[in-house]
Amino acid sequence: MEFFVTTDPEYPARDAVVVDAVNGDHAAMDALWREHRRWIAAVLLAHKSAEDHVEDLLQDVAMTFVSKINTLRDTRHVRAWLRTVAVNVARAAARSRRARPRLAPLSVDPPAADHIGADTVAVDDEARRLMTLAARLPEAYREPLLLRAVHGMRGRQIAEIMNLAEATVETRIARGRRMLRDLARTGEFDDAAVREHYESTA
Amino acid sequence: MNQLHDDILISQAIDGNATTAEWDELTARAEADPTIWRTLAATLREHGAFSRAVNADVAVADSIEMPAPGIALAAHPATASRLREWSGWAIAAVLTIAWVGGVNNLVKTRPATPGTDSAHPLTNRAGFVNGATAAELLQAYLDKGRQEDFVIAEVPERVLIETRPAGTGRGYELLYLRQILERTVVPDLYEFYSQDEAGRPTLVRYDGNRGPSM
Repeated sequence: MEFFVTTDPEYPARDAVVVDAVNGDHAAMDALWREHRRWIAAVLLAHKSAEDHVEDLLQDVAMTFVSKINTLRDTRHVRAWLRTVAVNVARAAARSRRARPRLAPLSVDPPAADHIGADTVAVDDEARRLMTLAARLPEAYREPLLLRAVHGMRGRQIAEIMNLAEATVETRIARGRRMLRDLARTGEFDDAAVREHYESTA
Repeated sequence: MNQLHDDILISQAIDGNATTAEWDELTARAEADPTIWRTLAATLREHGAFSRAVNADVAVADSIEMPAPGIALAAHPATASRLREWSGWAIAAVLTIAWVGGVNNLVKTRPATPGTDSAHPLTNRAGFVNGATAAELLQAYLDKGRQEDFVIAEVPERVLIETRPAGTGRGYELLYLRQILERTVVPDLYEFYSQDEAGRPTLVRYDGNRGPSM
């Protein structure tokens, strides 16, 4: 079945891939998945529960991507759509984990409680400490900060993903950096200032 | 000039997005308040460290390939995720089932003799079930297995895979595994030893002199 989709005149080549993916072209779907999977992992890092693993969640996102991409009607929103899928997957996994009693067979060790970012390659202590502190930031600031840290992610792309104005994204990143710096130095940040700022930019 | 404005100028400078005018403003601000240079340096250092951690963590994405469309439609994401948590154990279970499957087939195909299979209260002469429930059939299997010495016991703990609200709106639906400990004798045993250059597992014959395998 052919779907009629709206495309962005500024990005005809990129949109052609999305249109092909929406119409079920496996190679286009694969290209799209490879292009976006890294930042999707960053979104999952921002929204997952401490016990869930990015790798597992990413596989769920990939499943939903393949089975639901044909429901995308506007190719300009492919990033925002993928983010919504990722956020839903992370939240559903957290809800499911809360509802499920923790049982494990005697012969299998229960999964260790990990922290944001603890399930991957070793990096230096300072980097890991900042990653751990980032878990304490409000989601609205943590997510753009994580996305900015992913190689090559520009303000416009983050704005597209989060469906926000680019200026709002840049402000949240600047504010998030300040909060992270305060956390690193004093172990806390000014909650009241954050709330006030968030309400003015939400 | 407020702190947020300074933070935005510093952030723009770190990301390489600051315009000439913004650099001029930042420099002027820093000349009046030297702590701004220190803040810029600290933020730059933290951005570098944080980016290293984030990119290390998202690198796992490179190993996640897109599933084939047929597989994606067949497997509900949530269930697939839960099953993956137990995949190591489940693979062992699948191997076990394949392993003892031959034994069970032998049991099923063994000719009926008076007073044995055909005389079991749950089966008729043709071997079909006479209105027995699944629980009764399982119990009959366990009893028969013990009698023939290949079932040791059913493990009392059941492994919970997933909990979700029941479709009827009342109560919960549970997905769980039940485990039966069985025994068999095989002429040889192999174990996964390592991987060859193509990443395929290699098998080596198990040396019984090293004691029990687990």
